[in-house]
Amino acid sequence: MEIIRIFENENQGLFAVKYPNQEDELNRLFVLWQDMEFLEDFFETNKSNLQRTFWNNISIDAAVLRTIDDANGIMDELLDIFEEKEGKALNNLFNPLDSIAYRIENLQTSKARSYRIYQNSWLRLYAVKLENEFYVITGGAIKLTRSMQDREHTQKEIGKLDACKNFLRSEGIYDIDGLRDYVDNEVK
Amino acid sequence: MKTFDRDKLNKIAKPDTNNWIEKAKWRRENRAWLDKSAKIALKILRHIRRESISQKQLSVMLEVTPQNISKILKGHENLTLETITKFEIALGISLIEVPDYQFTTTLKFNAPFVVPVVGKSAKFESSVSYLKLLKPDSQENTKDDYKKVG
Repeated sequence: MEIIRIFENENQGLFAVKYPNQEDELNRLFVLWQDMEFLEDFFETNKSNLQRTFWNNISIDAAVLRTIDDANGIMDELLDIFEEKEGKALNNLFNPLDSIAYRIENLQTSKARSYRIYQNSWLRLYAVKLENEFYVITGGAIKLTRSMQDREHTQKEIGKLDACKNFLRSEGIYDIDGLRDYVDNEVK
Repeated sequence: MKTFDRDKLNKIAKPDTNNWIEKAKWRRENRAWLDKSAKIALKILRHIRRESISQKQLSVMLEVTPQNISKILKGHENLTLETITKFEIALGISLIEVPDYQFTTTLKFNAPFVVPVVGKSAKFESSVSYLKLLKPDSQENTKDDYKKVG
């Protein structure tokens, strides 16, 4: 595992994990989320999830185009933060992930949602929060189902968050005493 | 209580050789045509899925390499009109359309008021009740460009 610096300045930093034989997670995800062939196949494969009440039986075509819009939205947000535009901050983009109960953790697990385009975007960027305005992206998903455990592709992301935490601990980037997680608003 | 050692992070962090920031800026600047390319790619993908046409078959139909087809179907290519039209003809679908022109004109000869459009009849007050404009309006139009229909 490697840590790639996407951008960093005095007050903020965005990093991304790079797994062996792959691009770093941010680059990898945005290639997929803007790849029409991948998206068309993904939504065709997962069309039963689009028929859930929450997604209003959206068509595959509309789902693909909505994903492109959402990806553009997240991209714009990250660029605004990089360009240090007023009111834009990584802390505003990422929401705490863990639900149900408090856990004592060394590192806070967080995820980013795009709020710009749709209130309930199904795109997810998962990240470990190092401290205010410093995040390491560990992965992401197109999350059509309610909880993280429901589908294999999101289940994998939980493993990646844990692996990143362990790596950062082993590299001494974190002290022993840690932070608490917060309750998150999952898609109902 | 310190929880995050920034110096240690900076020692191990590597530069982004894929340059996500520059790519994102480029996409933002070229969004308008990239959106169109994406929509064209999606239309083709949905059509070939419905018709059970493989990308390999599509490459044969269009006489291009499968790699080229794959690139186009990613939805990032700045497609030429020629390429788009080749797909349209090969697949029998419309991928892009140019809005129809609407022409209006007044008859140049001995008629008080009329606003005809191509292919449609217009009534005006004279000994001829209806004339149909046969081709787009032009200063060179003569009465022969109008057909009596009734």
